[in-house]
Amino acid sequence: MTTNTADGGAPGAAGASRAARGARRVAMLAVRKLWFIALILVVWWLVTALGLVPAYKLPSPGDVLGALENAIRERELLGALWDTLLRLVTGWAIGVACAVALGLLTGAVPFLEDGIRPVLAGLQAVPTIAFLPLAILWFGFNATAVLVITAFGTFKPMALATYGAIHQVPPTLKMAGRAMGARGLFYQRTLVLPAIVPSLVTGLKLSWSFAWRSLMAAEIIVSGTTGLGGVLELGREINAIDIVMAVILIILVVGILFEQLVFARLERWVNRRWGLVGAR
Amino acid sequence: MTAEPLALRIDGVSKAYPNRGLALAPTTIEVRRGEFVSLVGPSGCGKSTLLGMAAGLLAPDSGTVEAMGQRVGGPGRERAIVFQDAALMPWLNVRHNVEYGLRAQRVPKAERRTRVAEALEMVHLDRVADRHPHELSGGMRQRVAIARALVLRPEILLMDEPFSALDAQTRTVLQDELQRIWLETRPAVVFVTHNLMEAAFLSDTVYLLSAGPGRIVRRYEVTVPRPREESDPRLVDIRQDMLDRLRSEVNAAAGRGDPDLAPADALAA
Amino acid sequence: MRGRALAFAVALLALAAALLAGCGGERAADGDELRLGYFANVTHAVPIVAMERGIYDRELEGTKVSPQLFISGPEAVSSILAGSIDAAYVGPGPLVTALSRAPGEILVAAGANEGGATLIAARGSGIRSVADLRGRRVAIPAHGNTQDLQLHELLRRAGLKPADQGGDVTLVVVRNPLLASAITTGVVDAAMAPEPWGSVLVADGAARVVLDSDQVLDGRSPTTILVVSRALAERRPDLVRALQRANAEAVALVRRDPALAGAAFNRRLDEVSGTTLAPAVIRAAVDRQTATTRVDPAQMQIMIDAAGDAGYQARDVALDEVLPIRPSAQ
Repeated sequence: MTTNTADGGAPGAAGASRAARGARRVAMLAVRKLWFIALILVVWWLVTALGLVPAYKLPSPGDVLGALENAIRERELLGALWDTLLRLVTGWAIGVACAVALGLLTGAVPFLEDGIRPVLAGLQAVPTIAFLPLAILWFGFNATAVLVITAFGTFKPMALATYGAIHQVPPTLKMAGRAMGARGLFYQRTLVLPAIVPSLVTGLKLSWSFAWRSLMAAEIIVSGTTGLGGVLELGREINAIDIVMAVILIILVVGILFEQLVFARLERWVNRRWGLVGAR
Repeated sequence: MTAEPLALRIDGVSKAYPNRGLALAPTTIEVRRGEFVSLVGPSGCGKSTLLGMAAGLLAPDSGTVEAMGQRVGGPGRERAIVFQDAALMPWLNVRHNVEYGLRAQRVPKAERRTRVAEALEMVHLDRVADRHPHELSGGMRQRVAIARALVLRPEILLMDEPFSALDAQTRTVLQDELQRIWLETRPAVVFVTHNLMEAAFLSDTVYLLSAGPGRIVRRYEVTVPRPREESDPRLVDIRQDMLDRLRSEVNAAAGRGDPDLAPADALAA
Repeated sequence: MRGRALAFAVALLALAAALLAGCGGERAADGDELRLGYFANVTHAVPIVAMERGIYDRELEGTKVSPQLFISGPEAVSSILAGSIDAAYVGPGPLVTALSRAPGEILVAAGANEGGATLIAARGSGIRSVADLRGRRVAIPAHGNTQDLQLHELLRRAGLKPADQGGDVTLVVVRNPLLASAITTGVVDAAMAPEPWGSVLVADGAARVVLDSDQVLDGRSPTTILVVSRALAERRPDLVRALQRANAEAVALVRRDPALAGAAFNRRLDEVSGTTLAPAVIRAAVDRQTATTRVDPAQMQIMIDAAGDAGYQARDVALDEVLPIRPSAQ
């Protein structure tokens, strides 16, 4: 860079214009990704500022930010968020691991899958939270019961996704593996498991949202455990719709961040590694 | 014929699929060690079914399959198979794809490395060993599939229409390569194709099959010395004979109103 | 082109939002129906008896009273704010927190019940007084409800503070049906329990009474209050007066014969859930509360202050906002 300045203005100018183009590209990207959020914020603000709706029904964006700040200061909202995220990630990981293990184990034996799959499919219709009383009875009125419910909420859709993924493995790939002498655990670990990864990604995203729902529902009821669900419930109990909206906002932001930072990256990596898009 | 021991003995096997009736009438084929045999015919003639049974991936309804004197009940180390769609593992690079069978058969690491290198060199893929399958052309992927089979040093190589998804130029190049590799390593080969010229060019023996149900209609011995050229008039004659034969089969079938048969002209490709 | 489309979208969204939030279910009782919210709790014996005896329909001649069952106060006051019910029996907590956010939208018409809460402790917990709650976990039915506010006041008087305000008594929200298992499994050591749950747990032998209902703020803190929407009060003051008359009548009935309240409650419980409480338990529960049309201003002030201290109010509510017109004394 130092030699460039000695050469004169030309390279520096080129660099500057390149930087300007880069900045413009970033700006365009920001506009594309954020215009809808901005629109909602503007409409929200307009509706409240014009007094179209009383504040106790729809607090203004400022009120909600104030509630957010107040909850962070006085109700340890960040601690609650951290507890919830920790519980979410743990419960989700346990649920995913159990589901994939069960899927691989029983997906390889039609007799087992034929018996188990209809039960799992039927269970999808039962809200996970319906099992909370049972979980409380077995594990107590505590964080363990909440974690179990979260894991179970993850497990149900994930197990079905695993079955679906196993059935999508191309038959010739399975035949090729077996013809080369792969069998048993080696076959499951080195062929079936990696082969189902791309279709599992969809299941991971789906089960993540199910984990959220189960967790929030359980936290609302088992309120002895600190977490976002408890704060949400507090907002309901004291008619503080601004707190409720603040928590919803947090969940929304966490959802967007996870989608962009975790799942989008995971998907990109899998697509690249498994050669699903943009290859050749 | 000769007293040479058999690599593969397919004895009176038949196969029926639910709702589709008899796919393959009882059929007998013998393959000598080091012999290159092609099964050729229209779709629905049971040639891939025959190959699947030889591979031990399909169980025959009747009859038996013996490979190197042993009754076949599943995949075995003496056999390797190459599929039409390469069937590579997309998450593994070329080297690891080729190595996979050796890992499955618990070959020690050092030996794996030298054998993989050898196999890659044989199919001229040593320079792309670190690439992933989706970064390769169709022809290169099929080379990987061949290397993956060869690295297992099979006595019997089963190939299920390995070149049918490739463009004509690539196909010609790979046919030449396969001939060369086969001359170097001399496994017994069972090669399924619907391309008559390909069958004639590569094979010692060609079985012509017809559909409805699948059965052998004629056996050709190709004695043209190797290495061969596709333009060799003797090969062209054999191809023409096979084509005529198939046409009359199809016309007869059309007379019976059998809808399962592909037009014979499709085979002339 | 794009600018106009965007402006159009903004206008459309704004309209939709305003319609959704502003006009949802708004239908003040100007017709022939009055929608009245209540709970299937023993502290709601007054409305339960009044409905059973047809007192509302008699007093509100020509207007049909449609009872609507709620399971907790926040839903009931939210429904009043949304305009989907016209009146309700609720506790002071939800009333105060709602008024702190929606000033003047809900009006107190009359009292209905006082007391009805006991401080109980798990057998073997060694808790004999409020002071013993230090370092313990105490169940409340919900944040900001009557028992929660009462407990806050009891703790304040004993010089204690809840853990979330830097003290060392942990308040745990436990839904009433889960209270028995929470007490027996040691999740909580004590509970500020509304009737009949306190009496049920004591009868079961799972818990002992630490403070009986007459020792909890003299048994005079308001538990059940009849409130009406501003819309109803403005458009049909006659209906509000009729409601007050019906309420007073039912209160008098229950005062004369408390057993009546127990029996009516049990019949309603049977209807709602198919179960009933043992006669001894229901008698104990009814004995721990007092039907009254009075809302004691001093007691109400205590509740307001407790809600303020706990941080449940969006702004400090004045007593005048809650009790502008003194309900006619018994």
